[in-house]
Amino acid sequence: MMVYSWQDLLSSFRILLGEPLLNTMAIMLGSTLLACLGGIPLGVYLVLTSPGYPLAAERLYGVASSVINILRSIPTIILVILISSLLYFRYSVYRPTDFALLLEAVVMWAIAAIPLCARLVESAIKEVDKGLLEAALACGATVRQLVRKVLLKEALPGLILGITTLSITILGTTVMSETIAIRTIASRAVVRATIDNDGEFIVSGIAILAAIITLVQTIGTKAARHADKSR
Amino acid sequence: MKHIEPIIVFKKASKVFPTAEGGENEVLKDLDLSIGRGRIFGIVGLSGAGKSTLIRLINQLERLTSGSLLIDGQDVTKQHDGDLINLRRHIGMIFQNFNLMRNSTVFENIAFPLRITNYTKEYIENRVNELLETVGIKEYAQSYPSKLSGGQKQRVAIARALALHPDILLCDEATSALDPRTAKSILDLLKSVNNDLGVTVIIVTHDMSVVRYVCDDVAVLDGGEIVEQGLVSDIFANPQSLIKTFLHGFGGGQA
Repeated sequence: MMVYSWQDLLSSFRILLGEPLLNTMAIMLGSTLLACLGGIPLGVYLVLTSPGYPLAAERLYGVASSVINILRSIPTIILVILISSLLYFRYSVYRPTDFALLLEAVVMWAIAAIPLCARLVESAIKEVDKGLLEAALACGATVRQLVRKVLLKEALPGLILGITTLSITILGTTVMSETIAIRTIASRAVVRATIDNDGEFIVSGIAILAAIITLVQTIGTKAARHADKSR
Repeated sequence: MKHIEPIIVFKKASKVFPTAEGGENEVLKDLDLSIGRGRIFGIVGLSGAGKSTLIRLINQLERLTSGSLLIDGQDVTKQHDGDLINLRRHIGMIFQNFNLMRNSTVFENIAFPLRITNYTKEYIENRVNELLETVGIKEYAQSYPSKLSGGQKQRVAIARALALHPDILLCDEATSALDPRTAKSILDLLKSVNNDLGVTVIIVTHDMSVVRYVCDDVAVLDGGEIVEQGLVSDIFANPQSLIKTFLHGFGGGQA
């Protein structure tokens, strides 16, 4: 039985809204951004090599698709631990600062999120009417022009919603961040509530996460609606 | 009758698609067809006759399996990608579903072929305004396609197709999604494009009234082969079997 007072609850908010909030936002926003740098080109590549698209290559698409499926079936935390254990050698060279550790975490989470990002981008672009593809090619567009000026532009609302989903998924996986010594809101809430028996942290943690998710989703939905001129 | 110089010539053209079961589907069979410069040429046929494939061969959205296709005397089946892009810039195309970019304004849609061809901003601005005038939708320049009617959307598509001064305009069931009155106004526009700009217009349709209204020549496609071809005036005066089916609708032909 975990008993806590109002004062405990308030102080748990104060603690979570400090460093854990900064770490959480750094991973959520930074990793989403980095994952897009890898995931968008990969998603575009998946679309172009799909059957019925300009660079259709059944084998290549099949291989890329399976690799993504396999990577996606591995839980984020296992990928992160794998990458971090590959990085252990660095301790023999130097001792990373807290900031360097956070940067590493952002990169690791981004790498782990690339396969999901690629899939979300692929499905958003495949929503674009294929007739439009034909029209652009008939106008004499090159594949590069087709991607930049037609596919990405027309898929923008779907891409925004996909990236919103991606960032919220990344937020969810930060619950495991303490395995590499990064304290985020979700991880703190779990550790404090289960190991230190401070139940108030799970309450304040959920409240803060709910607020962040609501905010991000609201912004994403609004931005997508603004970008969609088809209604 | 004066001699008409051909602009498009198919020789023994065949197109085979692989089927999902691993077989082959021969959509066009040893087809010979010559389309005269400056004409309005109708290609009619029932669904699955190969009309859409035939028109897509002209701008090489589909490649021939065998045979040759001469456009302006050049065999386009032997061309490489760079030449293809050049070819397509001389051939406009419009579609049944208009295929406009929904997240771009009317102006941007029409400017698309110009922008990908690296014209200057001033030239594009002038050219698009000229085109808006030609197709009669000047007041909608800054609207998005979702705000337009079907007829207006097709006008935008025609303006886009004409942007690069094409020699040929391909129309794939361009009036099939429109009501009869709107369809007629679009056909009138195509007529004037042909007449005033000298563009060769190729119309694929399953609607005989379209052919009768605008076309000079017609070819009837059935099962991947041309079963009838000639001047529209001759064909309608002395219709053969498939044309009869078309003309008499459900009541005609072999039941």
